[in-house]
Amino acid sequence: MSLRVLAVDDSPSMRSFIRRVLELSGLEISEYLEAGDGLAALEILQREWVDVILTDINMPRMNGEVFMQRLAESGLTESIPVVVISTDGTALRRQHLDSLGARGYLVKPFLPEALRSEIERVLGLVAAPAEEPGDENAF
Amino acid sequence: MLSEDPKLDNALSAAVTSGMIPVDMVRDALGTSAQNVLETMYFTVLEEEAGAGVPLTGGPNMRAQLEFSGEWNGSFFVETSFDAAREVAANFTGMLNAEAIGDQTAGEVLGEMANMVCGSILSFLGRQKRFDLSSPKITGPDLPADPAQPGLPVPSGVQVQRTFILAGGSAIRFAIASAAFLP
Repeated sequence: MSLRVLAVDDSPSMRSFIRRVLELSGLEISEYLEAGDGLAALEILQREWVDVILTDINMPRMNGEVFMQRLAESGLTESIPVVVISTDGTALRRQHLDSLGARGYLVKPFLPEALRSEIERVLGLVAAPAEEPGDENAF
Repeated sequence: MLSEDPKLDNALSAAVTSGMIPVDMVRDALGTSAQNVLETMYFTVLEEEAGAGVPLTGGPNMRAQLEFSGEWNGSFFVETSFDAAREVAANFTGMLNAEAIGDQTAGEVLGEMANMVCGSILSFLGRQKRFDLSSPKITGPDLPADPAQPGLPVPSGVQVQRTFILAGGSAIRFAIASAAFLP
């Protein structure tokens, strides 16, 4: 499956890093769209479909929390999973973003494998565990 | 999360409840977070933990500074030479030629480093709390290179913890300062 990804972060270097990590992770990416804040991301979403949104929290103009509120109001969080990528790993922040509709949460620093796992998890792409050889009880 | 040690968890819970953090916990969290961020996000091989007297070499210096607020208030700093900042920026963004990286990108990547290390420390020390980080301010490249003059304004009663890490032959200095740290 080839994915269309929208990365929302005010730092161009962080967006470059995420793109690089996606490449390193082995995920097949057909389109990598970038936005510098929530407002720019909403503009992109008016004309482009994406499979998953990766968003920062602290951004100018429209931060990640307001961005997620707008997505929820428009019903987009039902159809496009949002993964928050943040330095803030506190339980309170995670709970708050969960309540806003975040399906995934990745705390920086993270390994490429962790980003891949989180994207696969929120998209339901995780393969079922392989059957153990010789397990006669397996269906 | 930096630790799964139940004893450390208990000590942290007690410290957080009191509203103050023992400075040795801050020092450990600073060192672990800085190393973890450099290795994981900057694909940097760390040579050793450098002593406090290691000078910043490789041209003029850059500093990223941010403020944190919430359970505790304070400041966080990262300093390194401009050349070292360009090297870590090249690792971070995947650019092959570090010399092609300008002041703006080097400073932005140093700011990201400050954001990640400080966020990691605060998430560890106050995992049940909420904090906010300001946007990093980048200064330089005209900072003094003398490590004996870290250039950090330290008001009375504020405790500062520093760590120095050697990466790619260059020193990177990290410092966190707060009045909430118990000496």
